[in-house]
Amino acid sequence: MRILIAEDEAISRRLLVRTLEHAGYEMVVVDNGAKACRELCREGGPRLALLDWMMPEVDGLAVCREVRKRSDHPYVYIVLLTAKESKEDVVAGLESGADDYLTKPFHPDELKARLRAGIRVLDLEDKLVEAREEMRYRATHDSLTALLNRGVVMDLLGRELARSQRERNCTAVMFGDLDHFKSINDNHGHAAGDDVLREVAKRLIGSVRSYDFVSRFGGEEFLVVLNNCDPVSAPFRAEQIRQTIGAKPIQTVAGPLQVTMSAGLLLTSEWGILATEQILGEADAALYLAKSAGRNCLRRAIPVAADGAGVILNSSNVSG
Amino acid sequence: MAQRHVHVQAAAVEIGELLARVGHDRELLRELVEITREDLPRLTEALRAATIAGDMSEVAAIAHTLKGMLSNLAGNRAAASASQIEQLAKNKAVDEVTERMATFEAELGTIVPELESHLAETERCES
Repeated sequence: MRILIAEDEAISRRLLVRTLEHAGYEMVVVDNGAKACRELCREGGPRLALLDWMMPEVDGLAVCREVRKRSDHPYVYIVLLTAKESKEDVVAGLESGADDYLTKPFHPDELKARLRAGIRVLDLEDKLVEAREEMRYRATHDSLTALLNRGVVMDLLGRELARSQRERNCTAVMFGDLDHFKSINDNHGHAAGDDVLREVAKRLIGSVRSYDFVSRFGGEEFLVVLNNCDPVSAPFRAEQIRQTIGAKPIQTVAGPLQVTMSAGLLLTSEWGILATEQILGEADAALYLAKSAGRNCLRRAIPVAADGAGVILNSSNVSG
Repeated sequence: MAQRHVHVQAAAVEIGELLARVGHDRELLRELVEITREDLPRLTEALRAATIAGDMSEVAAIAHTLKGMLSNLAGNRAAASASQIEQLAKNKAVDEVTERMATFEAELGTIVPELESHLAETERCES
């Protein structure tokens, strides 16, 4: 554990350093409050601090207040070192954001015990943050494939569509569905089906850019969103992505299985302003056409001006 | 029978307390003496200058630093004096601060020699 020592008086500073050296701490040592602030507020700074109350430039209380302003950073446990002993001083110290205080001259064992108490608090905070992050991950990701789940991708897609309309960019929305997936489960078992879903997720993620979205939309349905794409090359790109699924057999507990995907594609640049649900509806309708056309192919949703938006052309090739 | 009064000058530094604080580490004690030899005259001079200038907030700040330093060195009598001067300076009692300065400076003047003498004695015992 790295600890910041901020103490302007040299004897006290030397005694602190020696005590904590013996206790095995790694230290950052400064002699005024301004330097302490800089160290504690920088990314990856110490999370345990021993601050002298009275320091030149910026005192320990002001350092506490400054550190506590940063609510989005990991918690810093602060022990104030003080020669002040009145109840009013103690209250002022704790109200400024200190977690504990120690009167000078300090007793080495008491100092070490108080720091251990601080480390326990920080450990607890780390565990809470970890648990919260895990819950957040579970709430936004599919547990089998680790892809974004339907709820979160709908939210992201809504934002992306608003952005692409504002910036007049093109977003490609591809709905993919595994062909005859039910028969995989029925004939080879659910464990094999799970292997297929995991590998499909891996292949989809491996074939898009870091800022595109891939989601397991439900069952064997996947949604791929290519953000800010070129409308001319996007259909070919989508077809390439779709073809990665059937490119080679998928290894499962039941042996290698050949799997294919049908897909419906929509390019927002070809449509006017539509709600997220409408866009997904049109892409889904194109997917239905791909299934009807014999599966293992991609169909595009293209609006027909004469008949109004929402009419799907049964395109036979990816360029529509 | 006439009573004999023996006046014993109290030690400026409680050496037992100081040795316990440094964990009987002679090397550390030597370092602290070195720091004191360097910092104490500087702080004493600054305190004197601030007192002459009547800058009571500066006097309070320096007296506070001295209080912490002397407490750590187990120079308890001088630490108590520093604490009193700090309080007087906070109350803007310029005359009282000025009045106390001579005694305080005399107390401070005994710290380093006493530390050096203890250090020399410790080293002599160990050699």
